[in-house]
Amino acid sequence: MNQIQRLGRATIDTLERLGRATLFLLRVLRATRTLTGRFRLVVQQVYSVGVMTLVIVLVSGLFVGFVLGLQGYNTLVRYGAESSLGLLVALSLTRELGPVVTALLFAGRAGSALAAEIGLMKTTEQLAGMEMMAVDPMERIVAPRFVAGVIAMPLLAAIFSVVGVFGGYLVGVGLMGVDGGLFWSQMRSGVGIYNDVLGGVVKSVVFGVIVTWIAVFEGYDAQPTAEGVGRATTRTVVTSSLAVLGLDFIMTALMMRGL
Amino acid sequence: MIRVGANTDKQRETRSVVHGTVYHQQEILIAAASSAIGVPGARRVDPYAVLPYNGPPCKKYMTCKGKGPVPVLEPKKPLVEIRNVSFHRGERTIFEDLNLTIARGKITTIMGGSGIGKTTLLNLIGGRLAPDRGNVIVEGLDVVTLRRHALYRLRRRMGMLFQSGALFTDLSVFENVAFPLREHTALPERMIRLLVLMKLELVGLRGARELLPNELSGGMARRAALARAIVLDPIVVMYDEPFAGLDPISMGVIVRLIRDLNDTLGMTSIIVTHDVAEACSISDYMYLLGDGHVLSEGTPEDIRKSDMPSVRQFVGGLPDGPVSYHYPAADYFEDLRGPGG
Ligand SMILES: Nc1ncnc2c1ncn2[C@@H]1O[C@H](COP(=O)(O)OP(=O)(O)OP(=O)(O)O)[C@@H](O)[C@H]1O
Ligand SMILES: [Mg+2]
Repeated sequence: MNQIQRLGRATIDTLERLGRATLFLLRVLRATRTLTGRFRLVVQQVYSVGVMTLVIVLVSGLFVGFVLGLQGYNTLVRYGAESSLGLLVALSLTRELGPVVTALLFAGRAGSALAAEIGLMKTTEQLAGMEMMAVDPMERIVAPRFVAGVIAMPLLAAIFSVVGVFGGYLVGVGLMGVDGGLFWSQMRSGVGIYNDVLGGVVKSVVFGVIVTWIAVFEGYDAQPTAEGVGRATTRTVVTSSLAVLGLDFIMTALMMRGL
Repeated sequence: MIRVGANTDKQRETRSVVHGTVYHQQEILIAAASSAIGVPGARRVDPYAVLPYNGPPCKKYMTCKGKGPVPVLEPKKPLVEIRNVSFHRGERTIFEDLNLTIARGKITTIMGGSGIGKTTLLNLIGGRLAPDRGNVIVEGLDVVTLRRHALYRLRRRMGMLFQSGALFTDLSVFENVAFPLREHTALPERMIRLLVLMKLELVGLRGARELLPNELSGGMARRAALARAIVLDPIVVMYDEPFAGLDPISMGVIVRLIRDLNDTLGMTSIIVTHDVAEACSISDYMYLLGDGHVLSEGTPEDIRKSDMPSVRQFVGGLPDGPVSYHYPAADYFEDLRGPGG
């Protein structure tokens, strides 16, 4: 009986939280209207998110590309198809790894920082102070960060994919001796703008929305204590990573059916 | 009071429109400066009325005051009225049928023990919390039923000094004080600098303008926050524990500053504190809160002379008396003995 009660309690709590998060998202979206006059705030945030995440995205992209080059070559060479290595690397990156890995990195680096920043501003009464100065924190703090996250995510994913392809090239052509011309030409003819690239872009935009939404919500909703802020950052990373992986599956399934 | 609107971009640097008349910036600067430092007889500039203006001169500006009721000065009425307010936190009653009024232009102190709901009261006045029952009237407007837009208009004329200061940690002292000006006015940079420096001079932090909040001591942070709270020349300033943790010099400075601001700029001051001595020395009128309502009220003289036990207890600093020092709890000895003991 107790177990069932606890399950019920947890379900209700989760649903209630989901409802609150949805209402919060609507408020954020309404607040973004006021950004037209103050786009400078968004640019600042894109810059700070970019600075935070760029290095880790570059390094990870390069190494993922290396590994793809090695693994891809190992498999393809068994069928004598190693000339398709470029295609394999590019497809894996644009369709899956680019958006997904970038989103996970983004959640771990920028998302957690975002939640901590907003949570701390709440804890130290900065948000309350802003309200009393007749400045809506929703418009001044949350909305610019949300929009910046949504803009930055696809850019970072694109950078990740480009660097990854370059890494695959280094390993495949430089190390394993695949023909460089074939590497590029196979890639060029095999990767479709509509199916592959656009699908990847859509994914990265959706992940950008999800991760940033979770981050700003957790920060804004945090208990105003040091402990509460810590919990908010952890929850941001865990929830948004799971959400990214789950949504990736759903979106991939939908896109494949659409083909 | 004059209304100022920066004119078209080209002219913004040199001229502005005030009540349909074109003024040179110098004149506005002087008016603003003299109003800010409280030169007797100076025209009062309301920086909140300084709005960006890009249309044809004057006429249109006069009508573009934004939506919602404009708070009007009603000199005879009290500035804040709390009527029959009840407020609960969960099961706990914080206020029950609370009634109090804050007179215009006076310094009113609200005293009460820790956790009695003093900060909560300020948040009710500022409209950040809504009471369960009752009305909170500020400048003739009911804060509870006010639409968001109108509430924000009203808040531009209220300054609040938070217990913790609440400075923005990523901005320097200067930028912190400039923040409300940048958000609410289209003043040119030179004038913002002037206004900010004048407020910083008042609190003695002009030299600390480049410091970040984490480089300030608690007392300095409080003073910087005070400069920020008054930078828009509000009609009312709410001070949450302004005396806590100050050294005697800063304390004296702050006490005098509150008095000066109140008298020369015609502000109304609401101070929330449990510091009896300072409160008595500065206030025009005092309220003593306890048990969710007003225990006693009057001038500092009345309070000091009062023979009400609850007042005597608070002024004398005694733990036992009508006001409970303890958070509601089970009987002490029962509790120590433990369950089943
Ligand atoms: N966010 C909150 N959630 C639940 N209860 C709260 C919250 N904030 C304050 N309280 C409760 O409301 C009561 C009044 O709090 P308030 O901060 O107004 O006290 P205070 O009079 O300002 O005390 P102090 O002098 O210590 O600052 C406290 O007993 C506190 O337990
Ligand atoms: Mg308090």
